[in-house]
Amino acid sequence: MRQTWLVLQKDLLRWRRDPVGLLLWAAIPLAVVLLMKAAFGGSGTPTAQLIWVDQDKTLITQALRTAFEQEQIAELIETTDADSTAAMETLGKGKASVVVIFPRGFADDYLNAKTPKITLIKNPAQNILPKIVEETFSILVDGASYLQYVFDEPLQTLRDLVALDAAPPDSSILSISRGISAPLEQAGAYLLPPVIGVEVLGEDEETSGASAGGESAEASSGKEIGFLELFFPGVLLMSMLFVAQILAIDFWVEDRNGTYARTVSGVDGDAGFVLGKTLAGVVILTAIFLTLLLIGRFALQIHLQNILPAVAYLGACSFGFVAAINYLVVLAKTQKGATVLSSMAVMPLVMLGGSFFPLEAMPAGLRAIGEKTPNGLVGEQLKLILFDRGATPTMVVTLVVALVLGSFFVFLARRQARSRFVGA
Amino acid sequence: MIEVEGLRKVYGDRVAVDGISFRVEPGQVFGLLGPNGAGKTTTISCLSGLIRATSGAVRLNGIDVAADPKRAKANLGVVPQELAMYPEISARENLAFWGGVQGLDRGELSTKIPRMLERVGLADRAKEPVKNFSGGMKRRLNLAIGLIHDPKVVLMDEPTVGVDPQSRVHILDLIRDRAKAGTSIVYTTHYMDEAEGLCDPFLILDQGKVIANGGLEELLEQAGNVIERASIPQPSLERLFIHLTGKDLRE
Repeated sequence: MRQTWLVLQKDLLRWRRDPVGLLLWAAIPLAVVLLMKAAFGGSGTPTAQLIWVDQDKTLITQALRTAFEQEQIAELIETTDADSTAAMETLGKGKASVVVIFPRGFADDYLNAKTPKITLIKNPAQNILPKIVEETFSILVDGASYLQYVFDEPLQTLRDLVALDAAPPDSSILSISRGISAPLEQAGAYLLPPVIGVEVLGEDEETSGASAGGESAEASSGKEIGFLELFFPGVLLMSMLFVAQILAIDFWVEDRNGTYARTVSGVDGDAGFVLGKTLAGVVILTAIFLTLLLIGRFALQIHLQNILPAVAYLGACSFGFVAAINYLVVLAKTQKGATVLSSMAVMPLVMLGGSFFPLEAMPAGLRAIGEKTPNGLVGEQLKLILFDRGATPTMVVTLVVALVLGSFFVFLARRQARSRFVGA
Repeated sequence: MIEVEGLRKVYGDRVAVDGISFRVEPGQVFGLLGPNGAGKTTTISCLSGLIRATSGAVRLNGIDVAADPKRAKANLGVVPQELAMYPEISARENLAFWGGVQGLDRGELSTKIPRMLERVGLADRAKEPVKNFSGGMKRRLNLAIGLIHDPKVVLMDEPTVGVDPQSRVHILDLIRDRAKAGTSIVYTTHYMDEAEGLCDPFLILDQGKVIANGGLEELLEQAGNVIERASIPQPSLERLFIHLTGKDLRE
């Protein structure tokens, strides 16, 4: 234990005296997220600004526009109306993502099975948000086109009735109804699958928490998670992985400088060297977690009472990550190889485990994989702590696994370091 | 005292050290010489317990290194060829860490560190990060780290490589002082003039085998006939060394 303590103190002192490299790696993930937020602008989830220039003003154009008022799309796309001059002026100032123009006669063309045209003008200064509108539109236009093909006959009857400009006879209404219901009945089994029920778990607890808990209830799971909240747990874990990698490479620096061999020549041999360096890594990471979470407290309104449990949980889990990366690094035959090998482990974990892209933003298949990665598991538990959702059995399991695996990797790394660096 | 008997170290099918034996009495500076790849560093590594010998025995002050490494190494100081220290922290902090690694407690460190810094001429730079030191200052600190716990046995692997003449004189004086105080020292170097002025006796290794062993006079006397036949003028350790190990370049 004596050597472990000495190595731990020595490493902390070294990194305190020369912290630039570590701080840079710790801050890079935070900087990336802040830049993304700055690029999207505003607070909360980034939204596209869409301006309608509706020169047709018919039921058909209204129906297409209504699609953008659906709850989920409306979260991503904000819409306003304007004439074409004002719309282009706003777009020119960069205050809109897209202008959509429905020309006069659009509905007539649609009902007459001609090819109606919609003009979509994108803001060239933006990439992602106009693309969201474009994609949404392409789906919508495809849907409308299929409706035109499938319900060609009833649409034709409807066009004739509109032309009559009088109350339609019952027989015509019956004909339109049949024309629509018959194909729907035939295709119903494929087009209209059974309604999927959504079961919300833990709603009762949240409700009771809300009635009893005042301030904490506001941040409970019912709260909308904004852009930064979505990214923040991943930022912490990305910092952890990057910093753990930099710390691990220090084994090769110790070898190159002869300090590892000199320590092994001491009275305690290599008894506490690897454990000391691993624990120093845990202490450094815990300090980084605390700093980032305190920054997060001001930026994201994370409650103070959640910060200490989050730091303790992350600190304990980081033991497993640091020990595993240390082992990988001493497994390599050269320092360059160590960097490559550890990057091959760290980068996929960062990408898949929700540290770079939030799991919530991933396709279901990737998300399922991401949730099973070590940082994905820890990240999900961290969200529960940060957003007042309480401890779960999984949290205890991840902690125990991190500590047990960490101890195992320390044991392996000690043997491997001795074999690799002094050939013993 | 250092006792080495039949020390042999094999890596795969390569014999790095082939059954060498020698003994270093207290107060002796033992010159372990040889060209690159002769087996000097492997021998030092076996003596320091860093690597385990394939066969043979090493005893430091009568304690077997393989059987009781902790006790054997308590009185061992190592000055490696590399500047094995931490450049980010100060000379004082380096000495505190390495002293701790050698088992010194806080009280012992508080008295030994200032004394050692004074002895190697670094007292006025004690709090400065080592990365700001010159090569000579780092060499002196490297030596100080190996001697901080007043070991009875010291292994020095080329401790004066690349230093300025002043630092070299300083380092050699310190080594002589240690020897006078009764420390057993094993010293390796490629500077034959340095070895000739400092060491006695010598052991010359080549390809893991002992090719000469004894005091300078003894070696020159043993080789006298050979040297005479080879018409070597003014016999010296360097001429003898070149004669014994050849002029071929080594890796």
